[in-house]
Amino acid sequence: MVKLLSQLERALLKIEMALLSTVLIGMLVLAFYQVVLRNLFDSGVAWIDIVNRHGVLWIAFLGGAIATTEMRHLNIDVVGKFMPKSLAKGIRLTILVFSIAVTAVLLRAAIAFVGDEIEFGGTIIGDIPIWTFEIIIPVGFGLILFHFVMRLIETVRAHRLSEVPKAVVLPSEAPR
Amino acid sequence: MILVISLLLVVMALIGAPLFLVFGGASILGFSLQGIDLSAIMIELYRMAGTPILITIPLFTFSGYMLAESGAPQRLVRFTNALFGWFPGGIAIVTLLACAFFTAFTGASGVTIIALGGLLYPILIKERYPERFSLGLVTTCGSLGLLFPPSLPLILYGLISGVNIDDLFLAGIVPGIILLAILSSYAIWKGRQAKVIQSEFHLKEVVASLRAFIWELPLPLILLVGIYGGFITVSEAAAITAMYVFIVEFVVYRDLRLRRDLLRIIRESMVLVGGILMILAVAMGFTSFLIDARVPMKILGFMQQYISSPLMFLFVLNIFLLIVGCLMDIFSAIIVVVPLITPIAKQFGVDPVHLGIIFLTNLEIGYLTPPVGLNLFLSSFRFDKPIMEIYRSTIVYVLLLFVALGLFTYIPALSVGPLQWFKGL
Repeated sequence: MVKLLSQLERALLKIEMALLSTVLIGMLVLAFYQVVLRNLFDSGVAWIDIVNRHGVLWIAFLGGAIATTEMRHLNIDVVGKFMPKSLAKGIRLTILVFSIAVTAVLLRAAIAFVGDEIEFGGTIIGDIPIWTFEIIIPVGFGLILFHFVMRLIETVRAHRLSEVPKAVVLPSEAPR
Repeated sequence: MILVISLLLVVMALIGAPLFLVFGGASILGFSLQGIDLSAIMIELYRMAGTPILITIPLFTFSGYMLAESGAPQRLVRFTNALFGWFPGGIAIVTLLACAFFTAFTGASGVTIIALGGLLYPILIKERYPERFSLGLVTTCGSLGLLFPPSLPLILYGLISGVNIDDLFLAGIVPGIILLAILSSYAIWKGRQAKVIQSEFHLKEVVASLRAFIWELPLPLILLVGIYGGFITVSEAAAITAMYVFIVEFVVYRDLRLRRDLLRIIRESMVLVGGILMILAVAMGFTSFLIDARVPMKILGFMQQYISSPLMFLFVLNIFLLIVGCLMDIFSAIIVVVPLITPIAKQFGVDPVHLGIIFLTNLEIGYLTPPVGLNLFLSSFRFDKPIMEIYRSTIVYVLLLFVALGLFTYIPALSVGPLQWFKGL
């Protein structure tokens, strides 16, 4: 079961990385194209700005999801650095349970939000429904929640925190 | 009950829970108490997609990480060394300049210590600079330069406080140069004292190293001339910089290979960007809740009982920010504290641009203050030295930075002056 779940997590991470790269590179190319149009040809494409503004939202959640696979969210690390090693696992477990609880509430709120938008929301760039851009909010919180649950499973199964892998590594990016 | 939950959130923050969830929890608590549906948090969060300037954060960070992973650090060090290495205290000044240049692009995320510190520390030791001096220098340099454009903290401050980012970029330049000057003077004095080996000036090496560095050297110029010549906006500058760096590193120098490096660099840089943006996303709800609840005005009312003069306010602000800076990373600190402080500072007549420079200088010092300054730990890890030794090595530098902070705080003209001069042109 756990093996199956970690396979699922690696597959998800692959998809997240593919999406993230596509959004970032796409955003870069579009933004640069827009600069060229504006400054050299005095024209521009209106939808590029809208797409790129939403691209930032997608990057936030995809980056956030990947950060969860490495437990590298920004945090205050005062206590952790000076606690005896024996407490490390307990602290990590506490953090994970808290994180899972809050993320779950946020996920529920995000689903409600996008649900409303699907029903009543408008359209942008011609007739594309806004929710197709907003869908990353619940999807993102869902991915983050899943990664947190995986971290919890890993931590519970390890004897010491130091045995928990630092990151979920894809075969394509093994260290040089 | 409210008290218990609030306390729980504080404890979670202190033991190292992700800050975006601490703020998420706080928003959930705040909105529930007021009987507002929780999807309000999502409405606030979605405001991110209405903020065009945000695109600069992923683009500049991506550029910085590409530079860090390429041969740019080596070329930069070689070039500055050829130019300034023959000065008394030369290589120390090289360290300062190269790190400042680099941090401006990588946003003081710790990349500088890893990429440049490892390169410069052995040279410093080889030229017989004292070990403690050298260790302190490379540690301090890890956040030097965050007052120079296009540093990420400057952009983030502008974004949150509503101050024009072009103005902030200009305001940071003189204070940034003063910081460099103070630290360089100390380095020259220390270099004389230690009787370090002094290299000679070779015009040939200057030309050769310039040739090697020629593609990366124009980067600051593209930014400054582009933005202040009125040709491009900051967001456009971010797109141009990222595209330029991409082409230079992947096509011209070929330091980086698409298959080998691109995904890795995207992952590394976007984990940081995702971390920052998630806090921003969730904190938007939290801070607008605080402002709705008139929290800044309540703090102001309380403060006005004890503080009457702007100078006194600035002094208290400095102390407060130093504490924040040594607890939190610079990005979270800006996102959370700026919305609370800005309205208060306005009441005391502090210029928001001036406030920004004070803010960032304080947080820069926070990188170096025990017990948890980020640079201290990075340095301890990178150079394999006990943390206590790093503490000792940085004390002098922290004191020097305090002098600079005092200057920036009490002489507003240093940050606001160049801005007014430029606008008067």
